[in-house]
Amino acid sequence: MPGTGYLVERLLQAIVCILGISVIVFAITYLIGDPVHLLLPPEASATDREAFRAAMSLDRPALERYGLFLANALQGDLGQSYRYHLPVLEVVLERFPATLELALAAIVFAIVLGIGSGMLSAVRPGSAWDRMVELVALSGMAAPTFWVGIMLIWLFAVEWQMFPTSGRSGALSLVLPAITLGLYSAAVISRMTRSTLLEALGEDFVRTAVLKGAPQRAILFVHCLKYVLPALVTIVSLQFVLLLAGAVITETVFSWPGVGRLLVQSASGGDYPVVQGITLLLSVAFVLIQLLADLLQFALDPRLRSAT
Amino acid sequence: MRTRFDLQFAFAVVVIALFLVAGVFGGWIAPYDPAQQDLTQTLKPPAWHPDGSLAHLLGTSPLGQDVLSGLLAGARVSLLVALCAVGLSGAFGVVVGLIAGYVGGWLDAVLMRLADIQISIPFILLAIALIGALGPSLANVILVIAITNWVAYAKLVRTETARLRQRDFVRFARVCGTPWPVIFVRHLLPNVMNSVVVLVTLDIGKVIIFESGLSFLGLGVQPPTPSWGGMLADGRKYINIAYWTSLFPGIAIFLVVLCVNFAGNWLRVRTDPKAAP
Amino acid sequence: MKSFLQRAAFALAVSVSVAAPLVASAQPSGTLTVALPAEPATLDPHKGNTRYNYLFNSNMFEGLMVRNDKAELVPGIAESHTVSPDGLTYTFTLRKGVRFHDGSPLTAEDVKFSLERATNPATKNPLLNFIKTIDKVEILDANRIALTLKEKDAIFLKKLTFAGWIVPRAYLQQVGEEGFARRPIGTGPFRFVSRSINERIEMQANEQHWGWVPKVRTLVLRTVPEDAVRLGMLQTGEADIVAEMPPPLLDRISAIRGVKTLSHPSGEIYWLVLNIKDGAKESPLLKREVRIALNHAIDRQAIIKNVLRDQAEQIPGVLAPSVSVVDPNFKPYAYDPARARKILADAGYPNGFKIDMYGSVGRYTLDRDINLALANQLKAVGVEVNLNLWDSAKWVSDLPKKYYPMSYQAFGNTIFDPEGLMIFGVHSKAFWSFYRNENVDKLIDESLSITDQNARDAHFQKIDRAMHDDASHIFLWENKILFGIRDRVTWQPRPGDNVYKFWTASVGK
Repeated sequence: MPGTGYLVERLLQAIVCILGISVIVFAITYLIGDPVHLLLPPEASATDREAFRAAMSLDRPALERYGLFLANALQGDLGQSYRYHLPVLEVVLERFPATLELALAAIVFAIVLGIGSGMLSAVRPGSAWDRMVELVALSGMAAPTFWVGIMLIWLFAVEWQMFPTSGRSGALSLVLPAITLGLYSAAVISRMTRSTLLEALGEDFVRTAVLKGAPQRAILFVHCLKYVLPALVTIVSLQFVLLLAGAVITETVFSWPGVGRLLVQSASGGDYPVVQGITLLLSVAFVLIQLLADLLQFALDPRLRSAT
Repeated sequence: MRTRFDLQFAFAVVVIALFLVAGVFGGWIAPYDPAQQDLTQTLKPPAWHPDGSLAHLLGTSPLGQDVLSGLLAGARVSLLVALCAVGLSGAFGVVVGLIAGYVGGWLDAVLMRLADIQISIPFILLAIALIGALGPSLANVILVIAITNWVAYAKLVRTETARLRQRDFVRFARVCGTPWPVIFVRHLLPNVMNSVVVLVTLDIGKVIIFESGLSFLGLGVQPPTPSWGGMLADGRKYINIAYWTSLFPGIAIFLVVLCVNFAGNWLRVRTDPKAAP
Repeated sequence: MKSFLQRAAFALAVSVSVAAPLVASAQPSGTLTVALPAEPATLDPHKGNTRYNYLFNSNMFEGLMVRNDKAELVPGIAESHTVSPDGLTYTFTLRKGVRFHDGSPLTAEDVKFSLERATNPATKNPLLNFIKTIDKVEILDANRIALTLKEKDAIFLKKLTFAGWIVPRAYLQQVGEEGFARRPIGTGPFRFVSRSINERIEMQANEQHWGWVPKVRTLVLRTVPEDAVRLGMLQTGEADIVAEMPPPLLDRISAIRGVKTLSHPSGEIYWLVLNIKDGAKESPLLKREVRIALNHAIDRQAIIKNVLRDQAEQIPGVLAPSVSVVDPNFKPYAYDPARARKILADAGYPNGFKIDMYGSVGRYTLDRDINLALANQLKAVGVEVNLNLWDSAKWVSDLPKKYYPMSYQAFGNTIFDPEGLMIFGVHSKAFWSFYRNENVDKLIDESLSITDQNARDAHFQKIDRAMHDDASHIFLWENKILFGIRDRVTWQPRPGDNVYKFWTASVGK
């Protein structure tokens, strides 16, 4: 059956991707250099440092260390954090819910604002409303994330005290970080929705529905969204992954205790197992999400199925 | 509604022109040497404040450097990074996309898998690693952004090329035995260029923000070379007491990127027949 | 007052209400929230290497000797000790009734286990160098332990106090290394309650402590790297104490109602380190006159006043006034760029020279700005500085490769004795030292055997003077750590002590 052939092919591709990522991730941390001096105080002697390096197996050749890394990773053991002295998986997974929460909130915000404004624009193309939405969307894509975050904290948390300044402490504290993180995606989704909807509105099946006398709401939501959904699924999945990766800056600005902030601090603290672990997990998540999106599209759009 | 649209576009053109002028001549028109420090004039506010003076229209940095001069001279870095990084990644991406789309088969699969691997790795990490290994400098920043940015071009061009390959005029050229470089340059390239150009204009803004993000993390262009991203990184610590050190570079980045996006949008509307007016 | 009963009830009520506060004041109460820019990543006292680890250790754990809230060296788990005539054997008598946080009693076995663990290379203790002189740990009887050293060390006890933390043997063996890092147990004034990685650590007063029960019931350490966010927490009351605020925020903090600032001398000295030990053979820095000229080229007061907002105190040499006794008549090199230029010309560099300087970003307070300012001042006397500003991690990793001709660095106080700086940062044998001078090396070796405190003070002043005359470094300042403290908190850290002890802190209404 053509269906399973495609599935198998995609899965194999995903596995190859993940292997490639593991090589690059390992090479990167190898390239960043020697964490020994970051993990020891200035008072440590030269002999201490050599002993330390040997005790951490950092003096072994690269290939051997990679092999060990891969073998362990496949068993779910991502090594031990140099700084926390706890398993990397434990350290990262403890932080993961916070990032997931932030990314989900951001994508919900982006979808609601994006699709909503995109639909409004598509329904009245060329109007003042359309122009305004376009301006705001383009602005959202132009503003640097950290700048937006700092300004939001300044206005809404410090001056007007409507939200907490930082940290993860309940639903209210999620608002500003989610807006900061989701703004760019909201803009992209808005533009995407508008253009694909306009394209859909010009298609034959819409004309037919209009001729058949279907109400405008029904046309918009039932017919067009179905047409638009595959493209949206791709965009949203791409944005979601960008969010996971882009959370670094937002988490830093808001002191959000997530994986992104942990990544930056581990990189500057010499905790390379954690850096490796986070990168591997994020990349695998990306590949899986893409796979899921592709499969979803495959299921949704009959045209793709016949192409294989 | 036509007039509204053109006003927006005109505004964008003016800003972009200003950006280009500052980028090329900024170092000369600036009132002060942006790297010149004056520890007795640290963090002076802009001229319209009671403590400010006309000597420093937009205030001074934590080390007494003139903010306005920094803005003018810093445009150069943003312009250079934008042009070079986009140029490099665009060229590379287009070539890869052409090859992948034209040849197809396993080469296509391999190239696209490489592309997927590339975008799976968080940009931040790649930047930290590469710049950590190579050292921060303008050239390395351009290199890092170029290395990570080519994928969008490759994918776009590959899809278009795969479509074009089925078209009659391409098949005809192949049947005639035209060598493939000629087919690439004469038949394929002109037809993909439209989409590529639109992507380029939208990409320039993204790249400028990337550069400022790298500088924000301390991985960007080094002082005394002035850069907007560098000014933002410096001013961040002082945002509670000296907003001007962050606000103005931030506005500069925002305006330039916004206007470049406007221009790109206008171009896309012009060149893509299916888009709404 | 109607009846006897009512009068009695009233009297009882009055006496209870008077007595209650007297009783209650002995009970820890309230929650103290401290916002720090970083956290002690590991909670295992034998594995941490940053200031925040030492902070956590000082409040959670103890050694045979401890430092009290005034940073005085006093008996800890051991109530007394004797030293053998040859100075190699220390015999400690353990205090009776000391219990770990889980209630189990402290035994001599725990002490032996802890010290052996701390000195075992397999533990990878970053502070090994402080206590590797321990040769043997012997249990003499249930209450007495003997430590034998490999060589005599006049300040062994000070080093032991910094690195010799005592942990429970039975518990550690039962839960394993990782289990201990998740839920540590010690004998200190605070016990561990819970932790959220990279976010917060919660501790509670140990009411069974042998010496000092904390005045606050709960201590929360929050990890907040962003300065602006810590400031916000102070404003909204989410934090009672915010630590290590950048100097530019001094006015903003003072302006907050209900908050006071504290400029705390940190015991950390800052200097421009010149690579003379492994430097290039023809480096201009090898000439003493050149180094003296560079010292004249720096306008320290301008940087301290305008960049650091007076959160630093200039020092003539390398001794920190909050930790050592500095000779009041000792004058620093004056800011005199004209003189600097003349000395350079006389030394054979009339047109100055080129040199590379490597600075960190994000490692020290305002390090980026200070590096830029220093490079600028050197340029003004003709020294063409090629400044490389690197991310903190890369800067630290590459520093031991020893090719930094010039770098802005700090050296902190760990053992409250200048010898720490000397043997770990100045002596030519030290890994982190870039300086070589036989005379200074000899003086430092001599200090290892001077036991009288006054003699030690005089001796270190001598070394300080020798280094100043040799212009071993470009001397700068001792910095002050800026705190924002809410008025309802009463807390005073001892100058020079950068491992803050919170058991004397109290929180009012």
